[in-house]
Amino acid sequence: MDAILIQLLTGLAGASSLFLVAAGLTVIFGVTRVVNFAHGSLFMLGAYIAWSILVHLPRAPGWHAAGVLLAALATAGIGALLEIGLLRRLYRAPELLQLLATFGVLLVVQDLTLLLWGPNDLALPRPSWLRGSVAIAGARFPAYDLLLIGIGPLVLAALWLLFSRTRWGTLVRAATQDREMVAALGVDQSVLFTTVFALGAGLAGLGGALALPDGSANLQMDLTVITDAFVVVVVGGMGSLPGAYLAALLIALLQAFGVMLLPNATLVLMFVVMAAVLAVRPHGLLGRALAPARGEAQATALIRPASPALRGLGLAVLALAMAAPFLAGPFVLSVLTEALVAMLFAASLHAMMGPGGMASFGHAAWFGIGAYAAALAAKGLLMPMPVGLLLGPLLAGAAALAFGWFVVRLSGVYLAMLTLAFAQIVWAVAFQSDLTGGDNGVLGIWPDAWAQDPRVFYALALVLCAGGTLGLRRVLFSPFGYALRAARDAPARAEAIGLWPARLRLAAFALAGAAAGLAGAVGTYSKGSVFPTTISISRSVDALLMVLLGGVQTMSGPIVGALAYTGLYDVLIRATDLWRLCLGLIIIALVLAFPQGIAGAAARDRTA
Amino acid sequence: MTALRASGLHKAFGGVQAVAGVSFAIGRGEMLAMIGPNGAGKTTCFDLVGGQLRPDAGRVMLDGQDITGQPPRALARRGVGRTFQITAVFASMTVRENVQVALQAHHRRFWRCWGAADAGFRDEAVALLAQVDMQTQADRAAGVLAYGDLKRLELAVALAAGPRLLLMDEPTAGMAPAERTALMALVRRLAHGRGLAVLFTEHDMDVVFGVADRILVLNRGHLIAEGDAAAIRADARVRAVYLGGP
Ligand SMILES: Nc1ncnc2c1ncn2[C@@H]1O[C@H](COP(=O)(O)OP(=O)(O)O)[C@@H](O)[C@H]1O
Ligand SMILES: [Mg+2]
Repeated sequence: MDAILIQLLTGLAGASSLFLVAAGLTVIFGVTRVVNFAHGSLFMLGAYIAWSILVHLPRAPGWHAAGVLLAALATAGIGALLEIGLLRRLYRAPELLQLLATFGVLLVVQDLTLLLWGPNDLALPRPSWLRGSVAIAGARFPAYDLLLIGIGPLVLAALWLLFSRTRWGTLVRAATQDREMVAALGVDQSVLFTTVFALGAGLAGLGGALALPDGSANLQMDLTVITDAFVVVVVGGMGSLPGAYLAALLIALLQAFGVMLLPNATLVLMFVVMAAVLAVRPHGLLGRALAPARGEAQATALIRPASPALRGLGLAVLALAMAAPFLAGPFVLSVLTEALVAMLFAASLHAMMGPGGMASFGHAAWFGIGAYAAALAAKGLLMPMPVGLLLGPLLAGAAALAFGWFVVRLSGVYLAMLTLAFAQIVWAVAFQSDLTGGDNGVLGIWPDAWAQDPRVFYALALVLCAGGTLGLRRVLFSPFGYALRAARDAPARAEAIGLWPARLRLAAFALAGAAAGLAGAVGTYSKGSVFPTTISISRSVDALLMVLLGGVQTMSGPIVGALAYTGLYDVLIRATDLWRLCLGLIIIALVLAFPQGIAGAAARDRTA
Repeated sequence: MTALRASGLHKAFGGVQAVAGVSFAIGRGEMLAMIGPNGAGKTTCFDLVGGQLRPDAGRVMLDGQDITGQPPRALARRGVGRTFQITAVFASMTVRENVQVALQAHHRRFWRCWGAADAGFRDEAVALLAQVDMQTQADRAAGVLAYGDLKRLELAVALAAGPRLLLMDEPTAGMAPAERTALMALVRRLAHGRGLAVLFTEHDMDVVFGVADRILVLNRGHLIAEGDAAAIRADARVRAVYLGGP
């Protein structure tokens, strides 16, 4: 009984933390419709700024509170600058490009934080009043956690008052419901958006500053926090504050009690909750179907088969790639193999995202399943390489087929989030299971004797990856590909001519999963090892970046994007320690310059 | 010979009774117009017959077979074609490809993963486009067409499956008056020539009275009148709905 009470309190404290993380994100999304990937970065900045302020202040509670508020205000200021400097220019861009830009911000903030505060975790020397605990039911419960339990609902109430009792709040709520109407009434939207963004950023900063006494300010915060925040916001219903609190409560309580029952499953639990909620309520607990946002309804680009010039260029590149074993040494060949793997990975995501209309945030799941399938076939079952190369796509495709059953009904951000959830589940399984070697991964997976020569393996990778990419392309220009695109362009019309959009999307989903699995299997034999990081969020984001850089709306986009991205990445990583900063700035610049992607821009120039 | 018979259709959205007990029949080769003020329930009726919505009560029979609640893709196979009030074409394709996809769907080719799609049914597609006078625009992007051309393309797409019943929700909205008459005259020729049953809505009364064989009048979910042009013109309740008054 007592243990239950303590877990209940732990859960409530956890709920407050999660809510603080998610509140700002949901407020920003509700009004601006921007899914802000940099929200975790704002949280992290809040923690670092709070640290810098608090180490200079007296330790008394009053000073501490003042310092925390100051940090939140500073983060709000940063948020306002971010909105004015960047996001304002992107409100009319497709939502995935907004996401890409905010991911660029995340990269930039990571390196800037490293530059300003150094690589070490910064913990706050805790004064006695922060270390204290309260005796509850015979156990000692941290006093600070009790404080947190109160702060969550307090912030919810404050936000509720702000939104329901002020003119500004009324306008914001109106804008959440119908932006066009508010604009038509002559309200200055830019001020509204900037203040909303600042409020959201301030809430993130507040969350970061409040999280400081329980842990430290560190450089991993941004990605951990953004994942938590996404899950809470999506489970609660995007844009709904009470939904966010409810979701935070649900998840934190399940986690607190889950620890007692299934100590090893906590990582998975959060995402299982999310998958379950979205399967039953596709718009989250308290969310509603969104009116189409700006950018969503915009015209889709015309897709034509490659022009003779483009075809010639492609053939020339292919010929060069075929000649590479005779021209390049083992090192260059291994880099090229990586590029080939990346190309197939990107092409597989593009197939479901472009023509299929399903953007995925968790495409690394299929890549990882393929990679682990190959690795375990080699190390666990001692199978020859061709078996691994076959099992990879087969298992990934089968998993995608099973999972796709749940997700093809969803669309947009919700679909992206559910795929993210699934990828995190796969990641957690790989991370926590003995079979997969946990954090240590699976090592020592080498090609069979006949393919050990780097030139032979490269040739094999070229056949599989370039072949797979071209095969996907062919499929997209086949009747199936057209039917798939028809179902994306106008689902009701597609159904009225006898197509079955859900089935077509499911088939595309499975096909994309299998192709990504093949890429993963080839990658495993090329690297000789596989780790849980293969399934990490940043790996999924890599694929998204490649596709978006190349342009979703073009057929050669993923190829161009993958080659450009891996090239850029390799060059940057070799050239500078600040590669994240550079990459982030380049991404932001590219998004601002080519809101339709590189290949998309080229295509437009041709037709223009 | 009856092509379609709808009986006792009901549909409510939350508290709004959009369609309340509507029954009608369409014969082969008949042009049946459904008119009524905005919000009368016309689109909802189309969705009930076309399978986009499932009725709360009532039956839909196609050629004597019960098709109530069947999804649109199943109805397409049974020869039901439809155009939408909010025009929907495949914007990432050319005009011709829009029709080609419809032809591929009709011939159940859409699981074929090999072979170029834009090579299949080319001539058939162009022939269908010629029917609606769109052949010169075959290679344009469907996403950039003018409104009237979009409507014509939708008709060609709907005709690709060789339907026996055609449901046209506001097929001429946004067209110039002369274009409207021409398009509906074409539909009328198809209906009478091929025995195609057509149910359509239309706001332009000149068009309705000019091409419809029979007219249904819907108001607030109820069928309030039915008959030929002369009967509808003379109907007191119709006059009340359209002209106001008791
Ligand atoms: N999906 C829906 N959800 C809620 N109400 C709807 C929906 N579709 C139609 N309605 C309502 O049903 C009534 C009939 O609409 P509709 O069939 O579109 O009329 P019409 O096509 O004759 O203009 C209207 O009051 C409309 O607001
Ligand atoms: Mg209507």
